[in-house]
Amino acid sequence: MNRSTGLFAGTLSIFGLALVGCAPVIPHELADARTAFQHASASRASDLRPADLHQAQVALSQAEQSFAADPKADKTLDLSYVAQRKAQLAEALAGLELANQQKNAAGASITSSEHAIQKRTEGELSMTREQLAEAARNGQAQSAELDYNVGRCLERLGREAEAIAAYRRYVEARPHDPRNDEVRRRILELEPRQARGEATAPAPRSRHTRLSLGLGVGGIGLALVGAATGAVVLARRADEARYDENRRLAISTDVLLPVGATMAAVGLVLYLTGRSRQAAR
Amino acid sequence: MKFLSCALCSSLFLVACATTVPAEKISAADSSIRAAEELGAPKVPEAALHLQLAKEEIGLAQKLIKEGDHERAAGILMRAQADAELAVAEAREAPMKVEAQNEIEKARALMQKR
Repeated sequence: MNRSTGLFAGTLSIFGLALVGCAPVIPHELADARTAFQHASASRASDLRPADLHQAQVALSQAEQSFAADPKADKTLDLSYVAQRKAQLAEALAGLELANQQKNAAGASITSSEHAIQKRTEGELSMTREQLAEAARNGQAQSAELDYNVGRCLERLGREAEAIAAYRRYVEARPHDPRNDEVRRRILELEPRQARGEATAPAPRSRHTRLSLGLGVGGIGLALVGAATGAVVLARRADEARYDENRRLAISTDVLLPVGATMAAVGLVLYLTGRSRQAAR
Repeated sequence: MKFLSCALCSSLFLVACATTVPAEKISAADSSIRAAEELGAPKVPEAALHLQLAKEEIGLAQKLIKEGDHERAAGILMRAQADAELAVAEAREAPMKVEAQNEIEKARALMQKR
């Protein structure tokens, strides 16, 4: 390297350093915003949430413009911060959209699988029942194996009571079968499920409930009749010609109103005590 | 003279309007914070972080408004709004991902039974 080349290189280096020194330092908020936007652009946000990604781009442009105008201004930092959050928001919303789509697709697959399994099980049940009927027609003893298969099918179809009955027939027919332990375990597992199913079914109205409802409705009816006769008496109280009739109606009112009210109150108390007893059970 | 005083009053009014933080900005950020809380943001780590940032920023903005620095308060409120909106999205995203994963596993198990 000759002297003039060295001098040129030295001058260039000093000039370059001076330029770097003069260039404004990029605030970390803006650097983070740029990185976040790049990340969001590479994610599914570009196809799932393009509008949100566009908003993030607009926010980043505003931050860049503010940086070009005044690199150290608080406004530049605030706009950069918002731009970063907008990019993250676009990515989060894309994640939400994607999860929703996956959930819906999985739901459709579940429905289809359940339908296929139910159809297959119903086919198996129908076939096994035909075999049972065939055995009965031929005068053969019902095969315990068939009962077992019927039990399995009914269990898969959620018909616990019938499945338990089929399993019990199997155990009774083959008391020493090595599979009995497994079948008994199945029965023990199914019994609570069956009980739960029965518990959720609406219970018929008990005698207690019927009595309380009867008293309540009857009492309200009597009280209404009493109120009506009372109203008639009040309307005719000035009519001296109907004094006797009014007197009879007034006596009826005096009897009907308190009796009706008492019956309704007793009915209500009985109904409430019956409900609390049921709840306690 | 009259014209000059009118012009001065008008410009002062305009400057005051430009630098005052509108109450809607504070209430919008507050609403987003409440929405995030109702969606369970405190239970989702990322959402909880952004929710906390939004709350702190609102507190800071209110302090700046009391001190009369409305311009800085507006910038901080902008940050609070962005943080709160992100917390809402994250609070919605996390449980949806869990639900989707559960459904996918259930679907796979049923596919094997078919």
